[in-house]
Amino acid sequence: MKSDLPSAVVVIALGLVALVAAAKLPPTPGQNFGAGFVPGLVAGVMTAAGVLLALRALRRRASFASEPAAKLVRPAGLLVVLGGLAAYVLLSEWLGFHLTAMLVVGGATVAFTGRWRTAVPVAVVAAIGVHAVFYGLFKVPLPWGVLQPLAW
Amino acid sequence: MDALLQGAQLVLQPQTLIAIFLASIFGLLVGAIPGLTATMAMALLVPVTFFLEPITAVGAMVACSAMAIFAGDVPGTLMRMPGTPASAAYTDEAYAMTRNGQASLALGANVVFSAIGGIFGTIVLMVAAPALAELAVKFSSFEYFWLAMLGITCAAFIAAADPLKGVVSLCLGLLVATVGINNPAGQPRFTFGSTDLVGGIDFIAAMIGLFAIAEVLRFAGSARTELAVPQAQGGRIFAGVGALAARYWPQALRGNAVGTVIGSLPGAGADVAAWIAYSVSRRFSRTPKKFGTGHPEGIVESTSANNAALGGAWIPSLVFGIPGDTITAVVIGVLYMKGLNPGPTLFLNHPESMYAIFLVFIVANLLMIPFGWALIKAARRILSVPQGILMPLILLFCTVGAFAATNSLFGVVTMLAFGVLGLLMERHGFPVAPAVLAMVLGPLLEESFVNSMIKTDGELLGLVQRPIAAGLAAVCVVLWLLPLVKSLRRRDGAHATALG
Repeated sequence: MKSDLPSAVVVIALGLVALVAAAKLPPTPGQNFGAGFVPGLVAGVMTAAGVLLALRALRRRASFASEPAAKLVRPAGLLVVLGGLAAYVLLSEWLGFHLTAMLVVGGATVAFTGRWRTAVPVAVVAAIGVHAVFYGLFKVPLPWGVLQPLAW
Repeated sequence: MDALLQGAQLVLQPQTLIAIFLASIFGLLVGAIPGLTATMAMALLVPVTFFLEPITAVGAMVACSAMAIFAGDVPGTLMRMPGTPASAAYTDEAYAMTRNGQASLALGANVVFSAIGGIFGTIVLMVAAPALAELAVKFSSFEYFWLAMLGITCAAFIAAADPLKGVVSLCLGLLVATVGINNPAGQPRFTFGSTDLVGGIDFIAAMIGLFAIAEVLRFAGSARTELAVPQAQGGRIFAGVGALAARYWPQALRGNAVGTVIGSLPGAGADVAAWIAYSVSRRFSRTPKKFGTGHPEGIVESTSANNAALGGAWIPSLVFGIPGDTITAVVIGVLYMKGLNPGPTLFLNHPESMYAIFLVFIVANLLMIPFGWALIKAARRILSVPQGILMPLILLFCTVGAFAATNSLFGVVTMLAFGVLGLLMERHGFPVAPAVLAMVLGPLLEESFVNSMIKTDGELLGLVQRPIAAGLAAVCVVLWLLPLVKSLRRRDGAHATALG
């Protein structure tokens, strides 16, 4: 059983930051309830809920909710996904959709299955297929990047 | 009658039928694969719906969600792994039937009673929605304020196992909804100087993150376990279902009713409906001891309930724009994008669209029987697709979807952030559904509040001076006080035990 105390602290901190930010919003002329009213109220409720959560955690020391089914034992796996998405954001404009997508899908498939011979064809087919549907059919402006000379 | 014919014409267009057909297959596959939920199927479908006509898009979504909820039963029965959370309530029971050599009967019951449940939910939707819409036309900002309040209240207090964490999740969603310049004051809020945030946080990208990326992350971070080999199921699927129907029709009917009612409550969807129906079934059964040993009674009732809940969830969604569950929350996002703003005026201005949506429901539930049969026949092959290959593909699909939602890389960043948020929330026992509903209802809540305050000149009591508004307010207050009363009673009970 995990204690709720750390998450309660995060909730309180988030609530307080939002409360301060909402208080700084200027009032709307001619109205009693300006742009900051609703966010401020919500932030207040959130902070209060965080405090209640902390008090309960201190009293009980065990989480109310049941433990999640599977433990996260592979931080490297998480990094593959997060890194893949970060790579897409940073590289896709320059490398183009095809190459970035192959990198992301291929990398993740190798990481998950350990098989290059599966990963390479999966990555190539996925990149070309998804591009054909979204760029060709739905006209989503997926970037060509360095492959611009091949653009259709 | 004209509207009905026009609605039928909308549904019978080739592109709509093709979309329903393809979305059904997609829903069946996603629903059948353990770990991929019906809501995830919807989130993945949304980027495609951008490019479809409104009714075609809605048709695809209705078909996809109905199929996914049923398909979740298949791996539950064959592998003891529920394909979607909505099947979890009776997975053990269905798997016990499989071990008793009754896999075909369990699956046949799942298909047939899911389809009947779905049609029941649709009929209630068809009767209740127009009637409620007539009432809703008279609603003003005061009633809408309390309806939205009731929606978020139900999401946090009824649907969440831990109301306190439900409230935190709710506040998080409401804060996310306040980001940007789209508020009654037109004031940029929480944008941190970023031009990308001025337009607000894209709901679709956030949904893809919460429901799909979080799942990919969870898979990537967990130990690789070989999935159980699906149990073989031979024999005729529909044999014996007729006998079940003859024996357990009252249970099926009760499951349908329970499912529709739970579904229509904002925040509580198919999974809650299935759990409640299963426990109701055991409670009133003549043979409660047989439950858990492979007894079909509870399966009939709860598999009826989860599909009936889908239709129920559309009642508040279409009539008031208040989502009944996370699936309809996604649908409402799409409806706004398509200019079919949900609300009573939809019934007045676009009755043909309404009838078209109803017809799609019926078509989708009828299709479920042949499609479900095919899925069961192909189940072994589908369930043996390795997740190590599937997850990278989902990752790519999500990325393109989030990009398409905003036509910018900021959509991908939003999706990533919400994926991490979803994972963290799940790890720490915070339910995601209240946050999702709050993101949909937040703007309605604030707008109706500010409009009401302009009408009453800032007088808060004005919020409860119309009879329906006051009634809704009273229900909200009761729901807010319920957890407090419960905890006081618990404390009293503990006190009494300690003294005794």
